[in-house]
Formats: sequence, structure tokens, C-alpha cells
Amino acid sequence: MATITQSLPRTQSWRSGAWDWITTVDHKQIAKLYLFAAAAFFAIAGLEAMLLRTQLAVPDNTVVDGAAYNQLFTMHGVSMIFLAVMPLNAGFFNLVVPLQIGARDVAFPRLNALSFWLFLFGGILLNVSFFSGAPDGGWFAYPPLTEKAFSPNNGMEHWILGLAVLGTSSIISSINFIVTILNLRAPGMRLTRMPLFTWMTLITSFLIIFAFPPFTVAAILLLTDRVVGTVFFDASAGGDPLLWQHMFWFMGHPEVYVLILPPMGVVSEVIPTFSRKPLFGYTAVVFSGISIGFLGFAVWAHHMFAVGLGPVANAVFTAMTMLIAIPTGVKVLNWSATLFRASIKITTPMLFAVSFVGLFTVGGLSGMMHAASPVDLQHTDTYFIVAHFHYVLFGGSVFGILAGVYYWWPKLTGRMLSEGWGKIHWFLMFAGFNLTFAPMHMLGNDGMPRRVYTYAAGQGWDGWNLVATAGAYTTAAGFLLFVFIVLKGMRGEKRAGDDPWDGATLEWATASPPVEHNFDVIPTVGSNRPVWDAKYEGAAAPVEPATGEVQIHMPPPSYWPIVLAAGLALAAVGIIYFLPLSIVGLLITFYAIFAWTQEPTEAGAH
Amino acid sequence: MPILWIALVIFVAIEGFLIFSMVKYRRRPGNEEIPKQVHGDNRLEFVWTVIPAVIVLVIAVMTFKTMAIQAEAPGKGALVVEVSASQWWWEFSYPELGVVTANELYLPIGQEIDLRVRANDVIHSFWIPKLAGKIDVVPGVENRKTFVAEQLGRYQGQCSEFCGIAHAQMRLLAFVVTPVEFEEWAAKQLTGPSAEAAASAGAGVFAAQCAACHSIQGTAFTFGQIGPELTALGMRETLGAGTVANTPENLAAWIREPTAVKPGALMPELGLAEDDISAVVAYLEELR
Repeated sequence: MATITQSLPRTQSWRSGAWDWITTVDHKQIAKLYLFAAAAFFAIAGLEAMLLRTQLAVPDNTVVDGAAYNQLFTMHGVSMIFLAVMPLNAGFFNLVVPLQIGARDVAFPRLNALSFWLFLFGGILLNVSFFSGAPDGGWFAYPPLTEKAFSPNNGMEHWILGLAVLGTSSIISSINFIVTILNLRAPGMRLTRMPLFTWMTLITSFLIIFAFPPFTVAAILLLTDRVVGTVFFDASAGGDPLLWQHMFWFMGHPEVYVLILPPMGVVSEVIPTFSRKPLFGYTAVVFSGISIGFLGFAVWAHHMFAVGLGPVANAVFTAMTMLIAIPTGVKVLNWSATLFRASIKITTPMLFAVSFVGLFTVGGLSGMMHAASPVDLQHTDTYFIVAHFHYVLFGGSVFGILAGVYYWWPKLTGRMLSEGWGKIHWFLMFAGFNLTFAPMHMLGNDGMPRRVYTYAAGQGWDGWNLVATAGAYTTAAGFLLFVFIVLKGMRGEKRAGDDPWDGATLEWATASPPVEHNFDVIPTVGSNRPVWDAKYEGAAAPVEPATGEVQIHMPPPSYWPIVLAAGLALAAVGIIYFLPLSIVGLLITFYAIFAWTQEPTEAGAH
Repeated sequence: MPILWIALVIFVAIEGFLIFSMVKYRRRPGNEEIPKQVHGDNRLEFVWTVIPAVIVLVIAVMTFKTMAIQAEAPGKGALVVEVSASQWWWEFSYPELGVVTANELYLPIGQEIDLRVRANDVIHSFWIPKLAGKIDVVPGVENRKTFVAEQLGRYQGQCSEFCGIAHAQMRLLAFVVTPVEFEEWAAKQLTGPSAEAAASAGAGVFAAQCAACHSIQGTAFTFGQIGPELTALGMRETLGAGTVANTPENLAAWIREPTAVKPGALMPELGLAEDDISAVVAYLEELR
């Protein structure tokens, strides 16, 4: 085993060798890995969406058949949630949090690498299922439809084991970020001075570690139903299909907040920066985030109003669901109030961030409407719901993420993304998104059910479906333009300064791109806007600009994370195809854990 | 719906404010002035926490009232209709009348309906948007829904819980008719085929090829339980749970190759000779 006596700062280059990428434990490089892998999965899931919309463009269409459609919409949902938005959020946790709290890296850099590799292998495990028949039971995978009798191919095994691997990745990364945020904050950064994005990361991480374990249990119960013949969810043998729904939505609903809280954090950074004002009501925004987190665990049965829980349960979950409107309303009002009497610089990140507020509001209001269970009894499983959650997760999460990409790209790479093209991108996205999803409110109200691969003509659905499909193509054009913008931003000559947006938080106090150890000296913080206060309020600078010339000990690169992740993924594949492979996989896993513990980490202190 | 109006007002206010601010407070070139650094206002936070809370309370009370009305148990004299859902069709039975039919539901106007739903395989959801809200059909559970059909007419419905390949074609029709028409309809379901039809070649084909799975009331073929009830098939508007119009051509095509008409359909290809197909089609279409 190599002993590394001195690790020099690595160059932050795209042209790092493959070995550097495989063994990196630097949070900024891992952020790049997360963002690009998630973007690739996003592209696959986006193509799936385009096929779905193409099929639905006109009645009785035959672009794909029912079997293919069911696989496509299942994989679209699963991928967008677990392989696109969650890991994109994780990419931002990696990129931003250590910089924002003035840390040199996350608390457990190698665990961080392990999280990424588990995510990548879990995502591949899910997607290779297309070769043998992808999962086709919806992202919610309700049994008995997902039991072996009704879904005989291996798709569901890929779904269960893929999500188990992804869940492991998310739980590990959440623990890592909780420890990082609680323990590695710069001196002076009390919790009440912590930047909003870091706050939302902290809350999200707690949601993940409470939501995923029960879901993983449910997934494994389903696996044993399918593989070894247990009957947990088989009503004909005394099992209970509703048990699955409870266990699934106990993860599934908090998951919505896992997807939306980090982009809320992004927006809470972007809007104040380009308004040249502090966020209005910092404390209120933090506490509303926390209360959304708590309430998020008490509303899961609003996905089950129609299953016959009875009026009392429906009333309780109606009330709890409506309560969530209060903290979300508070957030929206605080973002809006930040704009009041501001000096607003209309940049691409700002356009995406303000669109986030506007579109999320639409999703919140439609959510409020079907929180009322009598309304929901009409709306549930219709396109109204599809419209609702796309306004939250696309108009919300994805727009927030795009705001984040434009905002932090200069910090990540030292180069600007094109503002001119960026604004065209924003316009295509905004127009395309609304064209796609606004008509779905009408379709749902007119009774078009979800998850149908075809519909008959003459029900008043033809026109809006065509509009929605046209909108989807507009959105796709926007994404193609975005790919061009990013490629241009990787090669372009336009250098970003250390603080291109006139920012307020610590990430703007280091170089762009940051040196490997982030800060030469750990910063000292006196407010929740240390960089702003140093520039405009006469406060002491939190830190001198990093030079990269000091020798700071950083954790050495390691290949054990990828070996461990590969071992676990192999164990999962073995369960599906050839059990002895699982044993090999587990042996690799255990050996990797052992070797990991033997690796020197304390070599060459500065 | 008052909730919609509340939502619309909030929508206009928020979106209006966002657009107003983006225009009014945009930074003009050369303006380097730092705006007043307002960190927040606790009174304002209090106000805009309480106002949404009040709105939520109002909506919740309205909701609970509606829920209380919907949750009332059926009274005496309600017409019991048992719905049984399978991949991918519906069976409707009226135990008090002895009538069993499939995919097309008849209801007398003005009478309280006591709907009891059960699933045979996976989860389905019974939904006729303009007649009654939806109720999931869950294996191992009997769910109930009470409602009154208040307007005559033809209503389209559809399974609304994803249930597999032909979920899109698990449709149904409901006809709300006058009590007199309803009784006539029910009586026809029980009479069975005419003597001629019962003696036709098609009846023989049915006995040999179809009766193991399908039943027809008023005949000897009442033991088939696997496929949809075919009683009075000639009276129905559609075939395959709303997949195609009920015409002799479509019925023949269905018998020839069910999955060509409705991909995923569980009925096997029987490999009947064309003569037998025409005979059995003629027999089935005569059932009215």
C-alpha cells in the first residue's frame, strides 16, 4: 500500500487523467462527477419523456405500445427523482457546502467518493434493465402489480436493487453532510449565521436518513416476495398491498421535500445576491424549512385518499397536508419581499430563481387544492396531478438547479457561462415548460387519467395534448441549447473573477476555481453575510485570498471507494442473475472495507 | 369551488408582485447604489404566517363539511351494486336482481346506489368523473361508495389506478336511466336468448369454445367465471371494456386475435375456423 508523504494541490482541470477521477476524494471533483453523471441520467430520462409526449401527441397513436410506454414512464419517474434531481442536489452539496462553511473538505472525503460511486453503479443497474425488460410498475411500484405473477421479467429486481444501492449512497452522503455541517463550520459561524443553502442541505440530509431506511425495508420485503415466495403484499395469501403503500409513501412524500428543499436553498442564495439585499426574514425561512421537514413526515397518506382509509384518516391527513401550505407560503412571501425595493440585476441565474418562485407558487396552489380529499378524489391519478408535481419538481427543483448551475459554474470552473445564450435558454425553458404542463391542468379537470399510453379521440383532450407535446419539444430544444452553453463554458476564454456576482457568502472569498484546500487559512465569520459585510459594511475580511502556495495536508486519493461500490453493485447483480456472484461481490466489499481501514490518512501533516 | 377562487387570488397577487418587482426595481446601467439593507420584519412575518393559517382553517372547515356529507352510510332501500375488477375489465352485479353484466353499468336515476368494489388480481380504481368520485379497488378489501345519480345520460369512466399493459383500455360506460327503463333493462338481462338463437350453430360453438370462461344468463352456460359475462352482449355499445365499438366485424376480429384489438388482453387465441367465428358472432350479437 502506498504511503503518501506529501500531497500537492492538484490542478482543477477537466483534463485530469482517468485515474485522478477514479481515485479523487476532493469534494469539488466529486461535485463535477455528480453533476455530469446526473446530467447524463437526466438526458436519458428526458428522452424517455419525449417518447411519452410523442406517443400522446394525438389520440390512438402507435409510436410505442402499452408495454413499452409503461416501462418508459416508470423509468422516467424513477430516473428523474433518484438519478437526476437528487444527485444534482448532491452535486451542489459537494460543490457549495464545504466552501460556504469555510471547510477544507467534507468530514469524510472517502465516504463521499463512495457515495458517488454507489450512485453511479445504482443508476447503471437501473438503466441496464432496458436490455431485459425495464421495470413497468410505476415509480411507486404498487404490489400486487409488481409481484412476480403480474410482472414476471427482471425489471422489478433491477428497480428494487438499484434503489437499494442508491438509497445506501444517499444515506451515507447524508450522514457525511450532517457531520460536516455540524462539525466543520468556520469559527464564528453559529447555526444562525449559516448560509441558507447549507441550512437546506442539513434539513434534507436529516429527511433522507429518516425516510430511506423504512423504504429499503419495504423494497426488500417485495424482493423476498418475488424471489423466495413470501407473501407480504399478496392479499390472496393474507398479505396486505396497502402496507406497501404506507411504507412507500413514508419515503415517497418526504422525498418531495428532499427534491425541493435544496433548490429552495439555491434560490435563497441567488435572489439576495442579485437584489443586493439580505434575504428577507432569514430566521423565518430557516424555520419554515425545518417545519416543512417535520410536517413532510405526517402527510404521506394524502397519496392514498382513494384507497378507503376512512373519513377520519382522510380528514387528519387533509389537515396535516394543508398545514404545509403555511411554511411554504412564508417562504414564497419572504423571497418576494427580498425583491421589494431592491436593486435587481437581471442575470440568467436570477431569471431562473425568480421563475422558480413563480412556478413553485402555481404548484403549491394546485397542491393546496387537492389537499382537500374530496377534490383529490376527482383529481388523483389524473393529469391535474401530473401538472401539479411537474410545477413543483420541474418549475421548482429543475429551475432552481439551473439557477444554481449558472450561479456557481464560475466558482467551479473559473469560467463564465454565456449570459446572452443563457437568457435565450431561460426563455425556451420557461415557455416550453408552461406550454407542456399548464394544459395538463385542463386535461386533468376534463378527466384524462394518468399512465395511459393511448386515449380515444373526441373526449376534448386532443388539442391540449398536442399543445403539451409542442411544449415538450420546446423544452427539449432549451436543453440542447444548454448542452451547447455548458460545452462553450468549459472551453471558453471568459475568465470569472473570484467574486463575479458580488456575493455575500464564503465561497466567494476563495479563488475561482478554488484551490484544492479551499482556503489558505480557515476563515473567521462574524455575520451571516461575511463577504458582503467585508465589502460594504467595513467588517474585517473573513479570509485573505487563497494563493495555493501554502502546503496543506489533504487526504490522499483512494481507489477503495470505487472498489467497495463495485463489490456492492456486483452483489446486487448476483441476486438477480447468478447467486454466486453475490458472494464474490460481498467478499470484494468486505476486503475493500478492510483495506480502506488500513490506508494511511495522516501522512504528511502540514 | 371556493378553493379555486382563493387560489386564483393568491396566484394573481404573487405573480403580479414578482413581475412588478422585476420591472420596477431592476438595476439600470450605471446605478451602483446599494439599496437599504432590510433584514426582515417580525410583525410582517407574524402577519403572513397568520393569514395563510386562517385561509387554511377556512378551507379545512369547508373540506370537512363536504367530507361529512360524502361519508354518510347508505340508507335502507339503496340499490346494491357489486363491482368486481380484473385485468382489464369490470363486472357489475346486482345481487338483489340476480343480474350480472360487464363493462356497462345501468343505474336508475334518483335512487341511492350502494357500490361495493372488490379486486380479483391487482389494484384498480373505479372512476366515473361526472357521476361519482373515485374509489380504489384493492385486493382483500371491500371498499364502498354511496352516491345518487341525478341526471339522465351516458357517462364515461375508466380505471384510474395503473394496473398493467391494458390499463388505458380498462374503460367503462354508465347509463343513468329512468326507473322504468332500468326495470326493462334488468328484465332483458334475465330472459336469455331466443329459441332460434339457442338452437343456432353459434350456440354450439359457444358451448364448445367459450362457455368454459364466459357465462350467459338464461342459458345452460352459467358456469364460466374467468372472462366477462356475455349476457345481452348485443345490447352493449362497446367491446373489450370500451376498446372498440360493438360491431360484428370488431367482435369477429376480437375472437380471431384478441390482443390485436386490445394489446395485453388475457383471452387466448382460440384458432377458430372462419365459419365458426361468423356463427358465434351471429349468436352473440343476437343476445339482446
